Amino acid sequence: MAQAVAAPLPLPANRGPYAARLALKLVEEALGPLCRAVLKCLLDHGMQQYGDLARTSKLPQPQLRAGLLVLIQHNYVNVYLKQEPPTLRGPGPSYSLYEAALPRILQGLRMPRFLTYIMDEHGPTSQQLICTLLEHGRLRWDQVLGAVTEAAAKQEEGEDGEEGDGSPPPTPDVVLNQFRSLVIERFIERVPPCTLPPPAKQVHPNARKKVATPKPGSEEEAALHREQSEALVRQAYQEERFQLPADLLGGQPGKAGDEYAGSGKAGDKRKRGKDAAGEEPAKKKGRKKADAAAAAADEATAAGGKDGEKEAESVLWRVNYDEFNRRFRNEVIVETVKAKYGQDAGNAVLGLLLANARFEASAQTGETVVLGVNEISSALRRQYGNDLVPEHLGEVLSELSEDVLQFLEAHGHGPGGEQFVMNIPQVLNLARLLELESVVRNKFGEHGMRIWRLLFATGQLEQKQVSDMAMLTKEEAREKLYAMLKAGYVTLQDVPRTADHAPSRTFYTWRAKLEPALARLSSDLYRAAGNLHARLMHELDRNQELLDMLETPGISDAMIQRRTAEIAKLKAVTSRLEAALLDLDAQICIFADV
Amino acid sequence: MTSKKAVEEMILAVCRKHPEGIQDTLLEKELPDVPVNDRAQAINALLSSLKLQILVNPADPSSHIYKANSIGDAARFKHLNAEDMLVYQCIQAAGNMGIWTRDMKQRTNLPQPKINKILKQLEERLLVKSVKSVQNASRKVYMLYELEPAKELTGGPWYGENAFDSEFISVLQEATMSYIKSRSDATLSDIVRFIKETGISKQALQEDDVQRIINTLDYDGKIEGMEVEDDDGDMVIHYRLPLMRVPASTAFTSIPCGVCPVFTECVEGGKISPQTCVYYQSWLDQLDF
Repeated sequence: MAQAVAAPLPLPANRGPYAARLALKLVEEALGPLCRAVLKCLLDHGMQQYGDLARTSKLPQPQLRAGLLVLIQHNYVNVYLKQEPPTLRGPGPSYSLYEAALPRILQGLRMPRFLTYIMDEHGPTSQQLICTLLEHGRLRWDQVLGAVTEAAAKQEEGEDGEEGDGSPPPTPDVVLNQFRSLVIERFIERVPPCTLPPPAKQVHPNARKKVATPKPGSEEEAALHREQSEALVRQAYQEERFQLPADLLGGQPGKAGDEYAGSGKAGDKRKRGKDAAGEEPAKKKGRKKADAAAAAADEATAAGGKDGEKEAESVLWRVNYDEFNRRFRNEVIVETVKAKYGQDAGNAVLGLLLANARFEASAQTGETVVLGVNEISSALRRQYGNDLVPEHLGEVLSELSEDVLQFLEAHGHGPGGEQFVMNIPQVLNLARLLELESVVRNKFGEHGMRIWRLLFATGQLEQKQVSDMAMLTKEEAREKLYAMLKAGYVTLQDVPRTADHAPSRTFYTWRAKLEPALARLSSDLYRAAGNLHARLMHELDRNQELLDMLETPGISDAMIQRRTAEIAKLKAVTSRLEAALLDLDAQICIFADV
Repeated sequence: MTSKKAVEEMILAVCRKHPEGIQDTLLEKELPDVPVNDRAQAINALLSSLKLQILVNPADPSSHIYKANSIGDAARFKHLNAEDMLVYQCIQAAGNMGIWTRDMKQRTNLPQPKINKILKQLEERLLVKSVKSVQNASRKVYMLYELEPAKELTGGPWYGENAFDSEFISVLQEATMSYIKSRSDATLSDIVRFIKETGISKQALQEDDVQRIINTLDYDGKIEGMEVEDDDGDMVIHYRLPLMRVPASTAFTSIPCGVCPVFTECVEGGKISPQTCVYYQSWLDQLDF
């Protein structure tokens, strides 16, 4: 069902040079210079095999292996299994391909926001669950449970007497319940198996060629079959992505909890999980039938001498960033519609998005599926009760579908009443446009925005027309136009009257288009985030001595007293930079990730 | 045989009956009794005494027409020779758009100094005047003294003393804004009426002048237009405050990078870098802790 809606091509900004620079900074901060080196190699050379990676990175094998494993553990690198077509001598070779998961690394900035969101929606236990998974990248259920209960116990100890909210630490049952609902709500997903074939090449719609059905028995037909079977493997993962194994679904959670409650620290487990995954590259050369997750779990259970029958033990879980992005995106959409068309319209769109949720595979959905009024109202009712359902939902929606913005399309009558399809990027672009205009105003002044909006509304104009219509002096218009051209928010086209392109015989027209301007802004956002991060690291480096002093055990109060002003200043500076980075990330979310 | 004077009178009378000008063939038909030689002499006499002018026929450039000068003209054009008149007619043809001296040189085939001399003379006698064009500040164009310069030339009401009057425009914008705010909803004709009543503008502003002011407000994101059906069933655009405001600032522009003039030149390890950035320094120094 999800495949029916073609996902738009990803925006180039979250793969651009500034995005890569920021990603390298984030990885270096979180995982150290070794991982940075490995990631840089992956970013510079794209998807590659282990051997290529070893050659291009020039790192000693053990280091490269360790770095790569840590990156995989944190889901910063995607692993695919490429199966070459069979030859006359037998089945073709297969090898693993490694690819930097750039969007996921960048979205690491958003973790605090994820945690706040989940705290508000699901309470502290879920927050602890998500937090554990974010911290360790990918974990099995028993590891998650162990870490969560341990963290709760620690909190209890640390906080006793202080502001403990009096709630007892969550029992394994409670944790399992929360875990279940998080999986059902798609906040947590199964880690994709490393036997997944590499993603199909995305061809630009304009470059697609019509291919005739291949002749039976031809090479093309074999390729087509291979493609189809690859698609099936991907489909199979999509189907079980949010599926709970039977023993987590209805088994004996208490037992499962007891079994693992006392088995070491979360840190140990994480390491063990990593070690287990460590067998992966070694095994890669051999035949690879079981997926990595299963392999990792097998190793782990074999080491522990436990029964490897239970499915739950072999499944690795991770946080699904896309679900969060989707929810943040929906908030923006609903706010935008509410501001433009009023409360009822906002609620109607909210219902539409809720009803569409289970059909969405990613946050970058183009259009919703066809939804009937009844579906929409029942989705709204399920989530928020009767209060939010507008009285004449059908009328509200058909009125919206007649709006000039054309983001909602009526699709006739169906079994669930009138039917509608919403174009999500259309609404998002409205929200983005406002932000973009605000950026243009802040960067180029009131008159700069006037010129930009004039060009945006009229298509293309000559310089003189711009100054006339914007009612500005020629000099000012020229200054603003060239400043915006340099920053990349408007474009200039020459229309020569003669073949020699002589300036005196050429018309120059100015344009402001939404897509290029948005792409430019997105890339600027990544660049600015990189700068902020660099400055933050610089401030911390500069005060390294102060930080070291604070961490020294047994430091005397007098020493701290003497440098109170310095400490306060450092605190203020870093928290301002960190807060700005978080705010910027929220903006990046709207521009690059949905 | 009629006297020379009488023939001249007759020709003038005929020409006055045809204020748009008359062709020689037509003149011949109107005055069948006058022999061609007499007519030619009389016309020459009239032309030299500036009572008659000879012009290229606009309908057929290969022929020419005669036109009677008004009574006063004779006095005004007294002592002007043929070259002076050539320049005068050239300027006259340009209408209220005026003509540049260079173009005059081309049209009349007279040398530039000669033209300058003639223009000086014509200006002294208040026959023509020079006007500065807003399009080309360095060019002076000439037009007949009695004409009002075209809007394109003066730039319409938006130009004060030869320069663009930004002040005037912002005053008009503010007035329009406050009017729309007080009414919460206004049409173009409402706003035109309002501006006329306040008397902000010395010149009477036409609807399209006001429309331009409104458009700039629209581009500024301060108002938005909505098509509303009026009582007669016509669609009229109503202007009001926008429902969706452009936010005052964004996360990007509230950090120094967002408004940095050298953002594109900033490279880590370069002369301009995030580590050495003065804008960041002052931004972080503003903190009170």
